[in-house]
Amino acid sequence: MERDSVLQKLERIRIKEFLETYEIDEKDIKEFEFFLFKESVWMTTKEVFNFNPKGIKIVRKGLRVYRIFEHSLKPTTSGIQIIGKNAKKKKVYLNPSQALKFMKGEKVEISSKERGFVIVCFKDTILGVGLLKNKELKSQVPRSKRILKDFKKAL
Amino acid sequence: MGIRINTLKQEKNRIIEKIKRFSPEPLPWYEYGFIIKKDIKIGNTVEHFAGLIYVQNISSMLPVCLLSPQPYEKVLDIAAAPGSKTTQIAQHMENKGLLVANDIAHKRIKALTGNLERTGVVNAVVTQKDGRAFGRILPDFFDRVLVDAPCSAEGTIATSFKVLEIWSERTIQRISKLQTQLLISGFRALRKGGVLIYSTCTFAPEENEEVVSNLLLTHPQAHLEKIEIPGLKPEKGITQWKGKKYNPEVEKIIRIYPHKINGEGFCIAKIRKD
Repeated sequence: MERDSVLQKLERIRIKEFLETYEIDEKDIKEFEFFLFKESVWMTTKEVFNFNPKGIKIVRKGLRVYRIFEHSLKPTTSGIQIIGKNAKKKKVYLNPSQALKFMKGEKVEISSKERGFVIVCFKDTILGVGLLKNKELKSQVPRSKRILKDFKKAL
Repeated sequence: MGIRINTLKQEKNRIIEKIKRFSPEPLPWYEYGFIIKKDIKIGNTVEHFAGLIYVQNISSMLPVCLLSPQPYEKVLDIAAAPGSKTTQIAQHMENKGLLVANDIAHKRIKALTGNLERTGVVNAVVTQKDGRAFGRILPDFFDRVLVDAPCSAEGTIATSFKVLEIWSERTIQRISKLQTQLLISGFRALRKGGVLIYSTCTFAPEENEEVVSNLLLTHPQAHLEKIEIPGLKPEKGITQWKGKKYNPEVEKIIRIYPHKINGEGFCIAKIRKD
Protein backbone atom coordinates (compact mmCIF):
# COMPACT_ATOMS: atom_id res chain seq x y z
CA MET A 1 0.00 0.00 0.00
CA GLU A 2 1.11 3.55 -0.74
CA ARG A 3 0.70 4.75 2.84
CA ASP A 4 -0.66 2.78 5.72
CA SER A 5 -0.01 4.68 8.90
CA VAL A 6 -1.79 4.80 12.19
CA LEU A 7 -4.07 7.83 12.35
CA GLN A 8 -2.30 11.05 13.10
CA LYS A 9 -3.44 13.10 16.06
CA LEU A 10 -5.29 15.72 13.99
CA GLU A 11 -7.35 13.15 12.12
CA ARG A 12 -8.14 11.37 15.36
CA ILE A 13 -9.53 14.64 16.78
CA ARG A 14 -11.50 15.24 13.58
CA ILE A 15 -13.07 11.80 13.73
CA LYS A 16 -14.06 12.36 17.34
CA GLU A 17 -15.65 15.68 16.35
CA PHE A 18 -17.40 13.98 13.44
CA LEU A 19 -18.87 11.31 15.71
CA GLU A 20 -20.08 13.96 18.12
CA THR A 21 -21.60 16.07 15.33
CA TYR A 22 -23.69 13.16 14.05
CA GLU A 23 -24.13 11.68 17.52
CA ILE A 24 -22.68 8.34 16.57
CA ASP A 25 -21.83 6.21 19.59
CA GLU A 26 -18.10 5.34 19.73
CA LYS A 27 -19.14 1.87 20.87
CA ASP A 28 -20.53 1.24 17.36
CA ILE A 29 -17.06 1.51 15.86
CA LYS A 30 -14.81 0.37 18.69
CA GLU A 31 -14.09 -2.97 16.99
CA PHE A 32 -12.60 -1.25 13.94
CA GLU A 33 -9.27 0.30 13.06
CA PHE A 34 -9.06 3.64 11.22
CA PHE A 35 -6.06 4.55 9.09
CA LEU A 36 -4.90 7.07 6.50
CA PHE A 37 -4.45 6.07 2.88
CA LYS A 38 -4.80 7.99 -0.38
CA GLU A 39 -5.85 11.24 1.37
CA SER A 40 -8.74 9.43 2.99
CA VAL A 41 -9.63 7.74 6.25
CA TRP A 42 -10.35 4.02 5.89
CA MET A 43 -12.04 1.65 8.31
CA THR A 44 -11.33 -2.03 8.71
CA THR A 45 -11.05 -4.83 11.23
CA LYS A 46 -7.99 -5.31 13.44
CA GLU A 47 -7.31 -8.62 11.69
CA VAL A 48 -7.26 -6.98 8.25
CA PHE A 49 -5.24 -4.01 9.51
CA ASN A 50 -2.53 -6.35 10.84
CA PHE A 51 -2.44 -8.55 7.73
CA ASN A 52 0.80 -7.66 5.92
CA PRO A 53 2.35 -10.82 4.47
CA LYS A 54 5.57 -10.57 2.50
CA GLY A 55 5.27 -11.32 -1.20
CA ILE A 56 1.57 -10.43 -1.61
CA LYS A 57 0.59 -7.09 -3.13
CA ILE A 58 -2.07 -5.39 -1.06
CA VAL A 59 -4.37 -3.22 -3.15
CA ARG A 60 -6.59 -1.91 -0.37
CA LYS A 61 -7.97 -2.70 3.04
CA GLY A 62 -11.51 -2.16 4.28
CA LEU A 63 -13.81 0.69 3.35
CA ARG A 64 -13.07 4.35 2.57
CA VAL A 65 -15.19 6.25 5.07
CA TYR A 66 -14.04 9.88 4.83
CA ARG A 67 -12.14 12.04 2.38
CA ILE A 68 -9.83 14.53 4.09
CA PHE A 69 -10.22 18.20 3.28
CA GLU A 70 -8.23 21.04 4.78
CA HIS A 71 -10.69 21.79 7.56
CA SER A 72 -13.11 18.91 7.58
CA LEU A 73 -13.87 15.30 6.85
CA LYS A 74 -16.36 14.47 4.12
CA PRO A 75 -18.05 11.12 4.65
CA THR A 76 -18.29 8.84 1.60
CA THR A 77 -21.56 7.33 0.39
CA SER A 78 -20.50 3.77 1.24
CA GLY A 79 -18.97 4.87 4.53
CA ILE A 80 -22.01 6.73 5.81
CA GLN A 81 -24.27 3.80 4.89
CA ILE A 82 -22.30 1.73 7.43
CA ILE A 83 -21.14 4.27 10.04
CA GLY A 84 -24.30 6.37 9.92
CA LYS A 85 -26.67 3.48 10.70
CA ASN A 86 -27.01 4.53 14.31
CA ALA A 87 -26.43 8.28 13.91
CA LYS A 88 -28.93 10.41 15.81
CA LYS A 89 -28.17 13.87 14.43
CA LYS A 90 -27.81 15.64 11.08
CA LYS A 91 -30.13 13.29 9.27
CA VAL A 92 -32.61 14.52 6.67
CA TYR A 93 -35.52 12.50 5.33
CA LEU A 94 -36.70 12.85 1.74
CA ASN A 95 -40.07 12.15 0.15
CA PRO A 96 -40.21 9.82 -2.91
CA SER A 97 -39.77 12.50 -5.58
CA GLN A 98 -36.92 14.15 -3.64
CA ALA A 99 -35.25 10.75 -3.11
CA LEU A 100 -35.34 10.01 -6.84
CA LYS A 101 -33.76 13.38 -7.62
CA PHE A 102 -31.08 12.77 -5.00
CA MET A 103 -30.20 9.33 -6.39
CA LYS A 104 -29.88 10.88 -9.85
CA GLY A 105 -27.38 13.40 -8.48
CA GLU A 106 -29.71 16.42 -8.77
CA LYS A 107 -30.22 19.30 -6.32
CA VAL A 108 -33.20 19.04 -3.97
CA GLU A 109 -35.09 21.85 -2.19
CA ILE A 110 -35.86 20.87 1.40
CA SER A 111 -37.08 22.63 4.49
CA SER A 112 -34.43 21.88 7.08
CA LYS A 113 -32.39 24.03 9.41
CA GLU A 114 -29.35 21.77 9.12
CA ARG A 115 -26.18 22.94 7.38
CA GLY A 116 -23.12 21.22 5.97
CA PHE A 117 -22.77 17.52 5.22
CA VAL A 118 -25.89 15.63 6.24
CA ILE A 119 -26.96 11.99 6.21
CA VAL A 120 -29.69 11.64 3.58
CA CYS A 121 -32.37 9.01 4.16
CA PHE A 122 -35.45 7.66 2.46
CA LYS A 123 -37.62 6.09 5.17
CA ASP A 124 -35.16 3.93 7.18
CA THR A 125 -32.62 3.56 4.36
CA ILE A 126 -29.50 5.72 4.15
CA LEU A 127 -29.07 6.95 0.59
CA GLY A 128 -25.82 8.82 1.11
CA VAL A 129 -24.35 12.21 1.87
CA GLY A 130 -25.71 15.60 0.86
CA LEU A 131 -24.34 19.11 1.26
CA LEU A 132 -27.06 21.29 2.71
CA LYS A 133 -26.92 25.08 2.40
CA ASN A 134 -29.80 27.55 2.41
CA LYS A 135 -32.36 24.74 2.21
CA GLU A 136 -30.75 23.41 -0.97
CA LEU A 137 -29.46 19.84 -0.76
CA LYS A 138 -26.65 19.02 -3.15
CA SER A 139 -26.30 15.28 -3.78
CA GLN A 140 -22.78 13.97 -3.15
CA VAL A 141 -23.50 10.62 -4.78
CA PRO A 142 -20.62 9.77 -7.13
CA ARG A 143 -21.51 9.68 -10.84
CA SER A 144 -20.81 5.95 -11.07
CA LYS A 145 -23.37 5.17 -8.36
CA ARG A 146 -26.24 7.36 -9.58
CA ILE A 147 -29.52 6.03 -10.88
CA LEU A 148 -29.76 7.07 -14.48
CA LYS A 149 -33.43 6.65 -15.30
CA ASP A 150 -36.75 7.17 -13.62
CA PHE A 151 -38.46 3.93 -12.91
CA LYS A 152 -41.94 3.64 -11.47
CA LYS A 153 -40.94 0.82 -9.08
CA ALA A 154 -37.72 2.50 -7.99
CA LEU A 155 -39.11 3.28 -4.54
CA MET B 1 -33.47 -13.20 -11.77
CA GLY B 2 -31.73 -14.10 -8.52
CA ILE B 3 -31.10 -11.56 -5.78
CA ARG B 4 -29.40 -11.80 -2.43
CA ILE B 5 -30.36 -9.51 0.41
CA ASN B 6 -27.37 -7.85 2.07
CA THR B 7 -27.61 -7.92 5.85
CA LEU B 8 -24.44 -5.84 6.22
CA LYS B 9 -26.64 -2.82 5.50
CA GLN B 10 -29.91 -3.66 7.26
CA GLU B 11 -31.61 -6.47 9.16
CA LYS B 12 -33.01 -9.30 7.05
CA ASN B 13 -36.68 -8.73 7.90
CA ARG B 14 -36.55 -5.02 7.15
CA ILE B 15 -35.13 -5.69 3.67
CA ILE B 16 -37.65 -8.46 2.99
CA GLU B 17 -40.45 -6.04 3.86
CA LYS B 18 -39.09 -3.54 1.32
CA ILE B 19 -38.71 -6.00 -1.58
CA LYS B 20 -42.21 -7.39 -1.20
CA ARG B 21 -43.32 -5.13 -4.05
CA PHE B 22 -41.20 -7.25 -6.43
CA SER B 23 -43.13 -10.41 -5.37
CA PRO B 24 -39.93 -12.32 -4.51
CA GLU B 25 -39.91 -16.10 -4.17
CA PRO B 26 -37.62 -17.27 -1.33
CA LEU B 27 -35.14 -20.02 -2.09
CA PRO B 28 -35.94 -23.10 0.02
CA TRP B 29 -32.24 -23.74 0.63
CA TYR B 30 -30.91 -20.25 1.37
CA GLU B 31 -32.42 -17.70 3.72
CA TYR B 32 -30.87 -14.70 1.94
CA GLY B 33 -31.65 -15.76 -1.66
CA PHE B 34 -34.75 -14.88 -3.70
CA ILE B 35 -36.01 -15.21 -7.26
CA ILE B 36 -37.69 -12.24 -8.92
CA LYS B 37 -39.86 -13.37 -11.82
CA LYS B 38 -41.35 -9.98 -12.69
CA ASP B 39 -39.65 -7.93 -15.38
CA ILE B 40 -38.17 -5.32 -13.04
CA LYS B 41 -35.09 -3.19 -13.59
CA ILE B 42 -33.57 -3.98 -10.21
CA GLY B 43 -30.50 -1.83 -10.94
CA ASN B 44 -32.71 1.28 -10.85
CA THR B 45 -34.30 0.63 -7.47
CA VAL B 46 -33.52 2.29 -4.17
CA GLU B 47 -32.70 -1.08 -2.58
CA HIS B 48 -30.03 -1.74 -5.20
CA PHE B 49 -28.76 1.84 -4.96
CA ALA B 50 -28.34 1.54 -1.19
CA GLY B 51 -26.69 -1.89 -1.44
CA LEU B 52 -29.53 -3.68 0.36
CA ILE B 53 -29.78 -6.20 -2.46
CA TYR B 54 -27.26 -7.79 -4.79
CA VAL B 55 -28.12 -9.33 -8.16
CA GLN B 56 -26.62 -12.83 -8.18
CA ASN B 57 -27.44 -16.02 -10.03
CA ILE B 58 -29.03 -18.41 -7.55
CA SER B 59 -26.58 -21.27 -8.30
CA SER B 60 -23.66 -18.96 -7.61
CA MET B 61 -24.94 -18.52 -4.03
CA LEU B 62 -24.36 -22.23 -3.33
CA PRO B 63 -20.55 -22.34 -2.89
CA VAL B 64 -20.61 -19.78 -0.04
CA CYS B 65 -23.65 -21.48 1.57
CA LEU B 66 -21.54 -24.64 1.72
CA LEU B 67 -18.38 -22.84 2.79
CA SER B 68 -20.37 -21.45 5.75
CA PRO B 69 -17.87 -18.77 6.86
CA GLN B 70 -18.21 -17.50 10.43
CA PRO B 71 -17.46 -14.15 12.14
CA TYR B 72 -13.81 -13.66 13.25
CA GLU B 73 -12.48 -16.42 11.00
CA LYS B 74 -9.67 -16.13 8.46
CA VAL B 75 -11.07 -16.76 4.98
CA LEU B 76 -9.43 -16.76 1.55
CA ASP B 77 -11.28 -16.18 -1.72
CA ILE B 78 -8.50 -17.11 -4.11
CA ALA B 79 -10.08 -15.87 -7.38
CA ALA B 80 -12.45 -13.23 -6.08
CA ALA B 81 -13.38 -10.84 -8.92
CA PRO B 82 -15.98 -9.58 -9.66
CA GLY B 83 -16.93 -10.21 -6.03
CA SER B 84 -20.41 -11.75 -5.83
CA LYS B 85 -19.20 -14.56 -3.62
CA THR B 86 -16.73 -12.31 -1.76
CA THR B 87 -19.49 -9.94 -0.67
CA GLN B 88 -21.58 -12.96 0.31
CA ILE B 89 -18.71 -14.31 2.45
CA ALA B 90 -18.36 -10.91 4.19
CA GLN B 91 -22.08 -10.97 4.94
CA HIS B 92 -21.82 -14.41 6.60
CA MET B 93 -18.80 -13.16 8.57
CA GLU B 94 -20.85 -10.12 9.72
CA ASN B 95 -17.97 -7.85 8.65
CA LYS B 96 -15.71 -9.41 11.32
CA GLY B 97 -12.36 -11.15 11.06
CA LEU B 98 -10.13 -11.43 7.99
CA LEU B 99 -11.33 -11.95 4.42
CA VAL B 100 -8.61 -12.03 1.78
CA ALA B 101 -10.13 -11.21 -1.60
CA ASN B 102 -7.52 -12.06 -4.17
CA ASP B 103 -7.36 -11.83 -7.93
CA ILE B 104 -4.52 -11.90 -10.38
CA ALA B 105 -5.90 -9.38 -12.90
CA HIS B 106 -5.74 -5.67 -12.18
CA LYS B 107 -8.61 -5.02 -14.62
CA ARG B 108 -10.99 -7.33 -12.76
CA ILE B 109 -10.02 -5.92 -9.35
CA LYS B 110 -11.79 -2.64 -10.19
CA ALA B 111 -15.13 -4.45 -10.42
CA LEU B 112 -14.32 -6.29 -7.20
CA THR B 113 -13.57 -3.14 -5.20
CA GLY B 114 -16.70 -1.46 -6.60
CA ASN B 115 -18.87 -4.31 -5.35
CA LEU B 116 -17.16 -4.39 -1.94
CA GLU B 117 -17.86 -0.68 -1.59
CA ARG B 118 -21.49 -0.85 -2.66
CA THR B 119 -22.26 -3.67 -0.25
CA GLY B 120 -20.39 -2.03 2.67
CA VAL B 121 -17.69 -4.66 3.21
CA VAL B 122 -15.24 -3.61 5.93
CA ASN B 123 -13.43 -6.87 6.73
CA ALA B 124 -11.80 -7.51 3.33
CA VAL B 125 -8.27 -6.95 2.15
CA VAL B 126 -7.97 -6.92 -1.64
CA THR B 127 -4.77 -8.52 -2.88
CA GLN B 128 -3.32 -8.96 -6.36
CA LYS B 129 -1.35 -12.16 -6.64
CA ASP B 130 -1.25 -15.33 -8.68
CA GLY B 131 -3.48 -17.58 -6.55
CA ARG B 132 -1.05 -20.44 -7.07
CA ALA B 133 1.39 -18.73 -4.66
CA PHE B 134 -0.82 -18.68 -1.54
CA GLY B 135 -0.02 -22.24 -0.47
CA ARG B 136 3.67 -21.40 -0.41
CA ILE B 137 3.38 -17.95 1.19
CA LEU B 138 0.69 -18.68 3.81
CA PRO B 139 0.67 -22.44 4.52
CA ASP B 140 -1.92 -23.79 7.03
CA PHE B 141 -3.21 -20.24 7.63
CA PHE B 142 -6.90 -19.99 6.71
CA ASP B 143 -9.96 -21.46 8.43
CA ARG B 144 -11.85 -21.58 5.13
CA VAL B 145 -10.84 -21.26 1.51
CA LEU B 146 -12.99 -20.72 -1.57
CA VAL B 147 -11.48 -21.80 -4.88
CA ASP B 148 -14.10 -20.65 -7.35
CA ALA B 149 -11.87 -21.44 -10.27
CA PRO B 150 -11.76 -19.82 -13.70
CA CYS B 151 -13.39 -22.33 -16.05
CA SER B 152 -14.83 -22.98 -19.51
CA ALA B 153 -18.22 -21.77 -18.18
CA GLU B 154 -20.38 -24.38 -19.91
CA GLY B 155 -23.01 -23.90 -17.22
CA THR B 156 -23.63 -20.31 -18.33
CA ILE B 157 -24.22 -20.95 -22.04
CA ALA B 158 -27.97 -20.44 -21.66
CA THR B 159 -27.40 -16.85 -20.54
CA SER B 160 -24.20 -16.01 -22.43
CA PHE B 161 -23.64 -17.33 -25.96
CA LYS B 162 -20.17 -15.74 -25.96
CA VAL B 163 -18.99 -18.76 -23.99
CA LEU B 164 -19.37 -20.85 -27.17
CA GLU B 165 -16.87 -18.64 -29.00
CA ILE B 166 -14.05 -19.43 -26.57
CA TRP B 167 -14.99 -23.05 -25.82
CA SER B 168 -12.67 -25.77 -27.14
CA GLU B 169 -11.31 -29.14 -26.03
CA ARG B 170 -7.87 -27.52 -25.88
CA THR B 171 -9.08 -24.75 -23.55
CA ILE B 172 -10.47 -27.37 -21.21
CA GLN B 173 -7.16 -29.25 -21.09
CA ARG B 174 -5.20 -26.04 -20.47
CA ILE B 175 -7.53 -24.69 -17.83
CA SER B 176 -7.67 -28.06 -16.02
CA LYS B 177 -3.95 -27.77 -15.20
CA LEU B 178 -4.41 -24.25 -13.84
CA GLN B 179 -7.40 -25.37 -11.75
CA THR B 180 -5.39 -28.23 -10.22
CA GLN B 181 -2.59 -25.82 -9.27
CA LEU B 182 -5.06 -23.34 -7.77
CA LEU B 183 -6.82 -26.05 -5.79
CA ILE B 184 -3.54 -27.44 -4.43
CA SER B 185 -2.39 -23.93 -3.47
CA GLY B 186 -5.71 -23.20 -1.73
CA PHE B 187 -5.57 -26.53 0.07
CA ARG B 188 -2.02 -25.90 1.32
CA ALA B 189 -3.13 -22.49 2.63
CA LEU B 190 -5.91 -24.18 4.63
CA ARG B 191 -5.31 -25.01 8.31
CA LYS B 192 -5.80 -28.50 9.69
CA GLY B 193 -9.53 -29.09 10.24
CA GLY B 194 -10.41 -26.26 7.83
CA VAL B 195 -12.92 -26.42 4.98
CA LEU B 196 -12.29 -25.70 1.31
CA ILE B 197 -14.94 -25.34 -1.36
CA TYR B 198 -13.90 -25.97 -4.95
CA SER B 199 -16.44 -24.77 -7.50
CA THR B 200 -16.76 -24.13 -11.22
CA CYS B 201 -19.65 -23.13 -13.45
CA THR B 202 -18.84 -25.86 -15.95
CA PHE B 203 -19.57 -29.56 -16.47
CA ALA B 204 -16.36 -30.86 -18.07
CA PRO B 205 -15.10 -33.67 -15.78
CA GLU B 206 -11.54 -32.59 -16.65
CA GLU B 207 -12.28 -29.34 -14.76
CA ASN B 208 -14.08 -30.91 -11.82
CA GLU B 209 -13.73 -34.58 -10.89
CA GLU B 210 -10.27 -34.84 -12.44
CA VAL B 211 -8.99 -31.76 -10.60
CA VAL B 212 -10.31 -32.98 -7.24
CA SER B 213 -9.05 -36.50 -7.93
CA ASN B 214 -5.56 -35.07 -8.54
CA LEU B 215 -5.67 -33.37 -5.13
CA LEU B 216 -6.80 -36.56 -3.36
CA LEU B 217 -4.01 -38.48 -5.04
CA THR B 218 -1.24 -36.12 -3.96
CA HIS B 219 -2.57 -34.94 -0.57
CA PRO B 220 -3.68 -37.73 1.81
CA GLN B 221 -4.93 -35.10 4.33
CA ALA B 222 -7.65 -34.08 1.84
CA HIS B 223 -11.07 -35.64 2.39
CA LEU B 224 -14.23 -35.04 0.43
CA GLU B 225 -17.36 -34.41 2.46
CA LYS B 226 -20.87 -35.37 1.48
CA ILE B 227 -22.97 -32.36 0.47
CA GLU B 228 -26.61 -32.10 1.45
CA ILE B 229 -28.76 -29.10 0.65
CA PRO B 230 -32.35 -29.20 1.90
CA GLY B 231 -34.78 -28.81 -0.99
CA LEU B 232 -32.20 -29.47 -3.70
CA LYS B 233 -31.44 -32.75 -5.43
CA PRO B 234 -28.17 -32.38 -7.31
CA GLU B 235 -26.52 -35.11 -9.43
CA LYS B 236 -23.49 -37.04 -8.19
CA GLY B 237 -19.94 -36.60 -9.47
CA ILE B 238 -18.71 -38.74 -12.36
CA THR B 239 -16.13 -41.42 -11.50
CA GLN B 240 -14.88 -42.16 -15.02
CA TRP B 241 -14.60 -40.19 -18.23
CA LYS B 242 -13.01 -40.92 -21.60
CA GLY B 243 -11.28 -44.04 -20.30
CA LYS B 244 -9.90 -42.32 -17.18
CA LYS B 245 -10.92 -43.59 -13.77
CA TYR B 246 -11.08 -41.06 -10.95
CA ASN B 247 -10.88 -41.55 -7.19
CA PRO B 248 -14.31 -43.04 -6.28
CA GLU B 249 -14.65 -40.34 -3.57
CA VAL B 250 -15.37 -37.77 -6.30
CA GLU B 251 -18.90 -39.13 -6.38
CA LYS B 252 -19.44 -36.72 -3.45
CA ILE B 253 -19.03 -33.77 -5.81
CA ILE B 254 -22.39 -32.27 -6.71
CA ARG B 255 -23.45 -31.36 -10.25
CA ILE B 256 -26.16 -28.76 -10.62
CA TYR B 257 -27.81 -28.73 -14.02
CA PRO B 258 -29.47 -25.50 -15.23
CA HIS B 259 -32.84 -27.07 -16.15
CA LYS B 260 -33.17 -28.49 -12.63
CA ILE B 261 -32.45 -25.34 -10.64
CA ASN B 262 -33.57 -22.60 -13.03
CA GLY B 263 -30.13 -21.05 -12.70
CA GLU B 264 -26.63 -21.54 -14.04
CA GLY B 265 -24.90 -24.93 -14.00
CA PHE B 266 -22.36 -25.59 -11.25
CA CYS B 267 -20.08 -28.30 -9.89
CA ILE B 268 -19.05 -28.11 -6.25
CA ALA B 269 -16.75 -30.12 -3.99
CA LYS B 270 -16.43 -29.75 -0.22
CA ILE B 271 -13.01 -30.71 1.08
CA ARG B 272 -11.74 -30.95 4.65
CA LYS B 273 -8.10 -31.05 5.74
CA ASP B 274 -7.33 -33.67 8.37
